[in-house]
Amino acid sequence: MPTLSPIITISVLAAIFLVLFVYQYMENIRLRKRPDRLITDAQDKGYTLLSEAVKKAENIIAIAELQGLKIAASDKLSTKDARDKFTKALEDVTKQSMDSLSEFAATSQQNIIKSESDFKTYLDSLSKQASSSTAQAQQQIEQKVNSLFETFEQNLSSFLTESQSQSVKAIDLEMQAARQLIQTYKQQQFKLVDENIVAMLEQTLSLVLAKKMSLKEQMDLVYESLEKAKVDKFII
Amino acid sequence: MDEIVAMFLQFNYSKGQIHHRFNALKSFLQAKLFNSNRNELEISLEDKKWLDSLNPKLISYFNPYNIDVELKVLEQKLHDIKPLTVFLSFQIPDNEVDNLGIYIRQNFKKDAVIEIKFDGNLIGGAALSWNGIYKDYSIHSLIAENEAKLIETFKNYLR
Repeated sequence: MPTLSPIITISVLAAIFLVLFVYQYMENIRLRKRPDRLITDAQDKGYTLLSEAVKKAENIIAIAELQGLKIAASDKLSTKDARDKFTKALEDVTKQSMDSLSEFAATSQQNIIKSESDFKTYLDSLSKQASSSTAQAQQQIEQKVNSLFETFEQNLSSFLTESQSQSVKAIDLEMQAARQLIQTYKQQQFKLVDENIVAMLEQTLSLVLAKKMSLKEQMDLVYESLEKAKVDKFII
Repeated sequence: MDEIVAMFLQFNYSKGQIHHRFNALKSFLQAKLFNSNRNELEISLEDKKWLDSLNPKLISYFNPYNIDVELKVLEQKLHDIKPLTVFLSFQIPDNEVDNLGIYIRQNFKKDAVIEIKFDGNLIGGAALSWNGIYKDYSIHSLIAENEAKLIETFKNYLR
């Protein structure tokens, strides 16, 4: 859009001048407040500058307006030409595009058909591969399971054998300990009996002999004891 | 006095007998010497027999003037006699005490005096004690001496 840029430029310039104008006005208002002579002079100067600027700005605006009208008129003409050119070019382009599009469509269709057949072939090969892999995997799994079962069976039998032997050993030990205990108890009891048997014998004899022996027999025993004492020369 | 003691001990063998007979003799002498009625004396038949068997010398030894003193001396002398203690496992009758006394006087000591004591542990036979020395000749000591043999015998029987 090269025809629009002078309008924009002129507008921008006008805006700048307007801003300056406003600034100056404000400055003058501010300066007006000072009671000094310099300020008054400055104000006067300012007013002068401002009027000059306003005039110039009005001139520029007029020129810009004229330029703008000129440009607008030329634009209208060029727009029509451009529209015609654009329409023709568009039609050409459209025709070209349609041609190339139909070409592309035909090519694409061919490619699609080829891809489809390739894909089918690929799928078939994949399916074959998958079935063979499945059969292989199944076979491997079966072998693995069989070997697992065999190993399990072996381990189980060895474990049972070991457990059995350990149990037997433990039972044997227990039996041995029990026999030892019984033997010890028997020996202790026999020892007790041995220790007490003499006392029991004495008790029995004292009970029985006191009742069963006659006086004569008792006195005979006493005389026997005295005979022993005589042999020992107990009384001298 | 020793002769009197010997006469006294002639038919008395045990301490118990001696004590008993001494009292009988004392009563008899007092009755005789001091004209008491002998029939009123409370002495047994056996004591009477013994008194009648006494040596007349013993009876005539005593007179009213010396009876107290001499009896005391006699009593003391009899008391001082060390007896042979015989431990028995049964109650021995008096006649057997005499037989035992006679046997001991014949085989051990002429004027031995015995003292009979009871010990149920002896089972049979006798144990003797003389001058503080004790010796066991009873069945109890026999069992103790042969304890090991007895136990062995029982063991063999039980096994």
